[in-house]
Amino acid sequence: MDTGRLKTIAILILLLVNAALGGILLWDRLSQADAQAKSRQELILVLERLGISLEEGVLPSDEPLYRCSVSRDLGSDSALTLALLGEAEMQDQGGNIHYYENKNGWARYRSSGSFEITLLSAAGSLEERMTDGGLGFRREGSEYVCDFEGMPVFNCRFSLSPVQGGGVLISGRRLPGTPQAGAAGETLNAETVLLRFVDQISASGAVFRSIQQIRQGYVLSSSVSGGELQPVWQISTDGGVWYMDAEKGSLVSVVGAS
Amino acid sequence: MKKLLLGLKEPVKSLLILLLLCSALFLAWQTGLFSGLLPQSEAEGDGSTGSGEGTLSYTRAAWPCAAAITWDNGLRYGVKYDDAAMEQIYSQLSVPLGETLGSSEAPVRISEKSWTGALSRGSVFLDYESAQSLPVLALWLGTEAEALAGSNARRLLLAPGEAELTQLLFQDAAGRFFRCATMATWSSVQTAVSSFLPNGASFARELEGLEACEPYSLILEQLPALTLLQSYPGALDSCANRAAQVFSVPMNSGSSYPEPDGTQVYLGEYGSLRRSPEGLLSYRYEEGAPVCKTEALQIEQSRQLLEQLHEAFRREEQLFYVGSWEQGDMTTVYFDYRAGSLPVHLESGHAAWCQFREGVLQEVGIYPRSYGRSAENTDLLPEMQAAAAAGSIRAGSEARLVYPDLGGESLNPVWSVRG
Repeated sequence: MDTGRLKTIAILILLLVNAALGGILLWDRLSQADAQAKSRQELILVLERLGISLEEGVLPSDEPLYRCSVSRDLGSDSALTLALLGEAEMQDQGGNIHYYENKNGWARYRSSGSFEITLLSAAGSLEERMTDGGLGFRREGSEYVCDFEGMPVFNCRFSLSPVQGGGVLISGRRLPGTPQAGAAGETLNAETVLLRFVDQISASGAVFRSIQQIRQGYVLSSSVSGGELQPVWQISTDGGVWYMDAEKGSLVSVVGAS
Repeated sequence: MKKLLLGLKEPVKSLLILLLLCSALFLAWQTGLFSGLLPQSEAEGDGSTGSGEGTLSYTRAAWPCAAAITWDNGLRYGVKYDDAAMEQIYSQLSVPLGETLGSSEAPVRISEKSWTGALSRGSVFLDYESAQSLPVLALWLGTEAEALAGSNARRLLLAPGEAELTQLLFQDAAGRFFRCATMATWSSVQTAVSSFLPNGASFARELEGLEACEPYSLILEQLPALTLLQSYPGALDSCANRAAQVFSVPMNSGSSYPEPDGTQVYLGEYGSLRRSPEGLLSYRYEEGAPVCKTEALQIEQSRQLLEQLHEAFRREEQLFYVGSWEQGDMTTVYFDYRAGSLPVHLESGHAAWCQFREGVLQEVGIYPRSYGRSAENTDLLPEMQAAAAAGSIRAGSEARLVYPDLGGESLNPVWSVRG
């Protein structure tokens, strides 16, 4: 058989294989979408029977999130200081507390990510300078919430407040370094998390009537050996805001979040 | 033109085959046919407590026996005899405590009245049962505390100071009280302990009938549930085999001899391993011994070495550092067992030790023991009564729960008088 004919046969076989795999993929995706839609409908019905309202559009699509380790990056402290204050020498105040000061103000950074920066003059776009300094954030009301790869870190938030003399104080908590993703874990989908949430909340005696927003994100926990970003679901209701561990499906207490 | 088209036919076919092959591989990957064949990325990190990249890593070797959070209104949360609850509160406090110790200024002596005043208001109290070197505590928390060089503390207190910063107060081994200004914020301490709620804990000095007791002994309204402890055999043999590997000592009869007291001695290349009839296993260095010039290094070296031996027979017990004793040019670092949230008291004294001469490790000794909790709960005298009894036996003493190991299979928790 000549090469040309062999190639034609190979093309036909590969076309069939592609068609089969494409069909499997399409069936898989359609089945998943269908299952998800059914599961969401059932969830809405279950919640309605419990007297809790949930708009269908409130349920977000799931994004894969990973538990990440966060090590202190002194370079990020100096980059932010440079962007906001200009050149300043670092002074080690002990206890992993680092201080910068120059004619434009002063800044103090802690290993937990807590920081305070006082600018003696608030000239220029602070948001632009903070972004130039490597700070990733989004504005939520009167606060700024840090984010990582497009996802909010709920307990890393800071605010701006005026100080005497026309200056501004930027204070709160940020990521003390760049998170490094760990091994991919299995995170629960929104439907499973919501059902477990309702179960655990009712056991605690808390009362609410409607679920207003559900968001994926992270919370930062700090320890002596370093920090960790833990994937969570934030569930906002008319009775309060709670956080669920996205891997274990259990309520987590988050200090410093809204 | 026809010739050109004919000439392109084969190369186009080859290109099409390549594209269809890539497409098939992509579709196969998307459908998950290749999942499980590709390696997963693993998170890096050893989880040890480090003081920074490239520097020596120190791991905590002791932890508080009691802790209390006092609110401004005087209500208090206390934890004692509950290792899980203690670990929770300590892990929440570790970062602000490290900041407090690391940024401390030099200690200033204060009166007991200043100490009790701070204790009664918003504060966080930690009791280590035996005096700990503050610079070593700081190293365990990933920082250094040069201003606290030479200071030790049995009890620590974090309290609000000036300018919304935290002040550190402590009571040293001699019973004196000190205060240090720090750069840690009080809000970081408050945030760390905000998830705890009052549980009615008090200090002995606040309770009627306990005037004769150690005033800063924490008294709980209700003791946590405690069980009997089970002692398991075989720890000595397992430890001996591990020691032979760690210290490269052959355990054959050709390299061993008995001493008059019945101790079997095994000779190795760098020292000798001894196994006594009383169940003590010890190794004496002749050469090649580690050199540890500072107290922190001696504790860390001892912890690591004993951990290697302990791994061979560990069940539910832990070895924890209790103190260092100096005599002349000799320093002995002592460790005891802890199981079921209580310390274990051996008849023979401390569970393990490492002895250094001018910083050079001379001897390592351990009484290998394995313990586990039994399912059997135990009834105990309420802590108030035990504390009152301790005060009547010896003024200024406190009642402490311990498991005495008298050689039997089962250990009961008992109240012992300390101080």
